[in-house]
Amino acid sequence: MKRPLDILKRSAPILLALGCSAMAMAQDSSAKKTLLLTPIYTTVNNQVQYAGVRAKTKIEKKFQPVPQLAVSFFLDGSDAKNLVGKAVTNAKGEAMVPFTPSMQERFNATTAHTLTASAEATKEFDASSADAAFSRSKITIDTADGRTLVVTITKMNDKKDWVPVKDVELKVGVRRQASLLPVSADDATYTTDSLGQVTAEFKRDSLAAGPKGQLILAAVVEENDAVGSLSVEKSVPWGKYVAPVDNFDRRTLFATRQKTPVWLLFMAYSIIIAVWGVIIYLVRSVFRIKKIGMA
Amino acid sequence: MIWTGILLVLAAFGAFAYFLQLKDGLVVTHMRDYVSWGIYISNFVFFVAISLVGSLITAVFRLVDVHWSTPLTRIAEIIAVSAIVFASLIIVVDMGRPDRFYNLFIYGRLQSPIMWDVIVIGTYFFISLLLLYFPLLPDIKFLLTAKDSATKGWNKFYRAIGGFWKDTPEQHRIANRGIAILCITIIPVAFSIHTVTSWLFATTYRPGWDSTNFGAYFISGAFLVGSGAVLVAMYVFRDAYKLQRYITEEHFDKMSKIVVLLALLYLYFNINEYLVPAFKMKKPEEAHLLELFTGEFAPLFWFAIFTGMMIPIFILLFKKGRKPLPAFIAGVMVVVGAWFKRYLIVTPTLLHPFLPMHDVPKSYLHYFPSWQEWAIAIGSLAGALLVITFFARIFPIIPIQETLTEQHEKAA
Repeated sequence: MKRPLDILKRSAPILLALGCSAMAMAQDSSAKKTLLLTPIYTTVNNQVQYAGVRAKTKIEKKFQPVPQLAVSFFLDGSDAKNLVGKAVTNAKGEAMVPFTPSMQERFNATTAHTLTASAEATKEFDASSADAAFSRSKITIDTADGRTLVVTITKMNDKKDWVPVKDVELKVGVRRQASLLPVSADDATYTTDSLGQVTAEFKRDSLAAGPKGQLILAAVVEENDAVGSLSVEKSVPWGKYVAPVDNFDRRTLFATRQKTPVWLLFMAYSIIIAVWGVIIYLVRSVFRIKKIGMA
Repeated sequence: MIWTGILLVLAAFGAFAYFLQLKDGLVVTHMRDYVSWGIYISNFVFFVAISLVGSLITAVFRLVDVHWSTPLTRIAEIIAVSAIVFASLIIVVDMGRPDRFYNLFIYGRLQSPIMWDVIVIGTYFFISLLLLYFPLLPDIKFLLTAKDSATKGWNKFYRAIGGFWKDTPEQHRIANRGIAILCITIIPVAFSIHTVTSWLFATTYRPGWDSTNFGAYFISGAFLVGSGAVLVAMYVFRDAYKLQRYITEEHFDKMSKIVVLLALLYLYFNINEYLVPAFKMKKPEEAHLLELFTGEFAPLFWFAIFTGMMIPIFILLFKKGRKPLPAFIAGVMVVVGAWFKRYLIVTPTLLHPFLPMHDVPKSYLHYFPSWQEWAIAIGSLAGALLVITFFARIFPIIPIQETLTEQHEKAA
């Protein structure tokens, strides 16, 4: 009996440790998950500012978007008077609200700002908040020199002068229905130089465009630490108008009855006339038989 | 009388169900957004198929100088006429607003296979009617000779439709020429009627219908069900009217062999239609095929294959199986299997579109006909049988003149 008791005594600490760790794991699984908020400041065409956020959490060692999360946005402080707006994240865990006119005025009054995204506690997450500092910045496209684009990014310094921003990565392309088509086949991404500029050659010949050949050029900066997200568009007449082929008024199988294809009319009526001609002939034969019988 | 009474009751009940459908609309059926062609269209395809037998037995056999089938020609023709009449009617039944039927002619587009079907069905009806009428003329003379066996009214009717037949050589010449022309004309029209019916499906991009083979597949199936129906009718008329002298065991033997040939042909087309897509098992067609092979429709599918083709082939392959009774049973199996086969061509496909609809009630994903649909479908079948029954009562079901001529020629 001594031997089993010894084994039990020796293994007791191990069993205790295993039990504790199991309890700890159980507690972990019931604990709330960590919420990661990334505030995003966006300017479109140097005119409209947006406050945005990307919400993520770690599930099974992978970052997953958090949908349906209510987020409040504040500019330069978390008081109610600094509230930009409220939004709920979409399926990608993203939400965005435009600056109101009053907030726009406050935004224009100073050069450096802090955007705060804040989420209240939910069943899954504790309350969470994140800040992002940024300066007033702008992006321009210049196409004065033939088919060359010069994109310039500047930001306002403390003296309210626009100064170039160096080392900002951006995309330059043509706005198509669902994406940004690079202006040339080889270089899709550009980085600004000391003048805050990138130069791109437009090498897309005969790109399908509107009736006047207009294309929408776009330069896009995505979530840069210094300037946030910027985008600008410019219309240029560098495309080629391709008139759509319109079969609407032609004679087709899918047209209206007045537009039945001639070959079909010919074939169908030939067959109908031939067969019904035979039927009429046979009916006439019946009358001939009758006539003979009645004679 | 019991037979006629049952048919009359069934037809009247179908008419009552149709009255309810007219009153309340197509909502009384179980056809919804998914299955918009249900039992009515299955029935339509069945009727069109069975009507093809007229062209096979009468026209094809006559043109290739096959004489043994002469006593069966009228049976085949009356089946064809009654079936095509009810095919036309059942299409109207399937319409939600039959009062707007005339719009098809005012606004119909010649590009539409539906328009082709309307034209070809009308044409086939008239040709079949003429093919029934021309050989009937000499027989009406026999009916008028035996005046006492019919009522005054019927005699008046016989005189009106054939009293002018005097058996003159010129009349025979015109009638024979008419029959010969009809036999040639009816074959392409018959092929067209069922090919166009198959195109109603094949020109629509759906699983199970997207086939270039549908015309031939439908025609082979049509010849099979028509021949099966002739086997059944032969047995029934032979027994009811004591026609053993005219419809002999030899007729059953030969007709059974034709059914075997046609069943094998249809089986071949079925293998083509199902094995080839099943081998590829394209994702958008998978649900439809699996439903047929192993799913909800599997019992019906295998029933149709075995009852409509395999078992009849097995029965009729043997000489004993080609005797009247077993041949009759095989014929019934062919016809019943063929009806369900048409249902399987129409309905499962509609339940599995390439682009499923969103937010439809769950009940739309299944289809089982309502009692009104069953009543109308059964009523239409009873109606077709009634036409055949009435025809057999007022006209000789065996072409007397032709059969006698055949027998005399044979004896000589």
